[in-house]
Amino acid sequence: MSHSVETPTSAPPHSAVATILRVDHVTHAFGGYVAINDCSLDVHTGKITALIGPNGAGKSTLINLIAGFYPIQQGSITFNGQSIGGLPPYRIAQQGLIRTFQISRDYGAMTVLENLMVPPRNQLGENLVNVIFQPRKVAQQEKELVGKALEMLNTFGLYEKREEYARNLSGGQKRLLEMSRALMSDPTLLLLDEPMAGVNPALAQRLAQHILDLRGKGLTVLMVEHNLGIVDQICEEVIVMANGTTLARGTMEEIRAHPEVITAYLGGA
Amino acid sequence: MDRTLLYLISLATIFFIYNILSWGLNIQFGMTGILNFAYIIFMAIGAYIAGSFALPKATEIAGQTYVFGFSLPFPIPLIMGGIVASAFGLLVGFVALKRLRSDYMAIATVSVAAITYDFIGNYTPLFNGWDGLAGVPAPLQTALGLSYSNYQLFFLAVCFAFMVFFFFLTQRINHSPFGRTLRSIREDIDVSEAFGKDTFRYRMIAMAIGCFYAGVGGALLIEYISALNPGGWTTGETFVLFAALIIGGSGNNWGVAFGTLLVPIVFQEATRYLPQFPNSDYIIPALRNIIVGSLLIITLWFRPQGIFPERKAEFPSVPLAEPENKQEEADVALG
Repeated sequence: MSHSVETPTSAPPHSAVATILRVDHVTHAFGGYVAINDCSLDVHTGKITALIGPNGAGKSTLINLIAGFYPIQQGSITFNGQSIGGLPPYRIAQQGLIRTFQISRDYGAMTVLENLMVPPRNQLGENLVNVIFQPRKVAQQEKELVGKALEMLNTFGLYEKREEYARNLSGGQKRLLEMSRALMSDPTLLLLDEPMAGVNPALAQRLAQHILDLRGKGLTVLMVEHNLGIVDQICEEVIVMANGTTLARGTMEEIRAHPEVITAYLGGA
Repeated sequence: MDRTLLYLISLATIFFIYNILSWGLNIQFGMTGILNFAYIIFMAIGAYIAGSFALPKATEIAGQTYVFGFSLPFPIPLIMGGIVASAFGLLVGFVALKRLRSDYMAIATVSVAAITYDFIGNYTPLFNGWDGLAGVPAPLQTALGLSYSNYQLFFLAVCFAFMVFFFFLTQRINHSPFGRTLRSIREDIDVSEAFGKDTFRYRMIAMAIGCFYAGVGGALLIEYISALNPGGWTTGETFVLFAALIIGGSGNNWGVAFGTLLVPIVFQEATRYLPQFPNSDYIIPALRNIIVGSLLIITLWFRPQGIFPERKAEFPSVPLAEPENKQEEADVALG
């Protein structure tokens, strides 16, 4: 599949590629400071898309807008063909759009296994009526989820740590926890906000492999990442942001040759 | 029955009632992380509702003015006390939880406490103002026709039954996926929101349940001591319960019960009848506050999780489908 560098606001070149997320002319200002300025981008179903750009380009702000953490001021965001702009974060998450955070945010005073037991959606036992009147059904589902969580921990190499408080994990283990926990909610689109931040190269490789495995399972990933080596390795599509808007889109190879991108990264005028 | 025994029975009764109050606060603060500094207000509302529902019409008793006066039999006033306190909790929660996070919410609840306290105190037609309600009939006393000491034992048993019920309810909540979601909100509300949890709704439910406990506890209290005025539910009383939670171990219902035994019962109630120091009536109350305050500081300094900390969640053991991934283990050790 070939990619050409193009203005990202135009329609995707391959009409066969389905779009799972569309950000359409979104503008967001904090007071007088315009962090996102008429930004548009598409994320294609089943792809790993990277969102790169210099610090202050608006990447994290955009993630927060997509996930509903900032109210949308202008423009629209559609997920799976439905408008999600203006919905509270939990409503967006319930549709299968799950985000992680730039800084690992574990539930510190809960064990690693319990951390993984929170995200699954539609848990019977989250309704007190079921807890009191249908304890068996609740226990049955709980057991299934424990099994799933333990398999997940095993995949991510955290099985031995399952009884440990999450706050006692190392920085790298917290990254693994963050990702495995997000997967427990069965997302269809995963937004990863700098999943490799502060991670040593060996672990970064493992995280990269996990992300590739996810794609194999039909998941779509949009990740903010500064490690361009990793981006080159696993991301099929790269979107470059600068000054609150999208600058270019293509494969990493194409992006590297893009003059405006080079200027933006080197801090030219 | 000798007086010491009767006194111990009364302490035990108050202990059982206070446990209900503490566990309700534990659901809000210990499990969900809601800083509700108006908690004692909901105890008072439960008490006043139960009292005024159990009392006869105000005109029949000289010197008291209050609303309701339905002469309803036990346990209807008590249940109504719990329900009304819970409803008021939802009202306060709607204002304080909708947009505010922990510290601002705490300030809002302090304001609610002050407003409610002054309103009930000054608006005499509601619950007899600063004099409060008195002469609340003891539940089933005439129907049972027991002697004074036997009735004390009977009421102790009633309070014990309520305590056991609320203990199992709290434990059930604590160990359910619902309780897990509450704890996750306490740990990091944004992350739980990002996992599709309607955190406002969960916190509202925690507010309603906790305030129900407070209301039932308050109702039992007024039915036991037959009277209550605003002096019995100053904001300081909320902090006695918070101290019990923090010292005992918030999040752990057994720890909370231990803290309740220590702070409101041993230090607050049991010291009430110690022989006074000569020429100084104020030394013991002052010492009481000094001891509770010091204990709180010592706990926060040396054992911030409390004497009996929250336990790790337990799960059914499920074997892995595939053997453990040892290679990845080794890699994690590197990372």
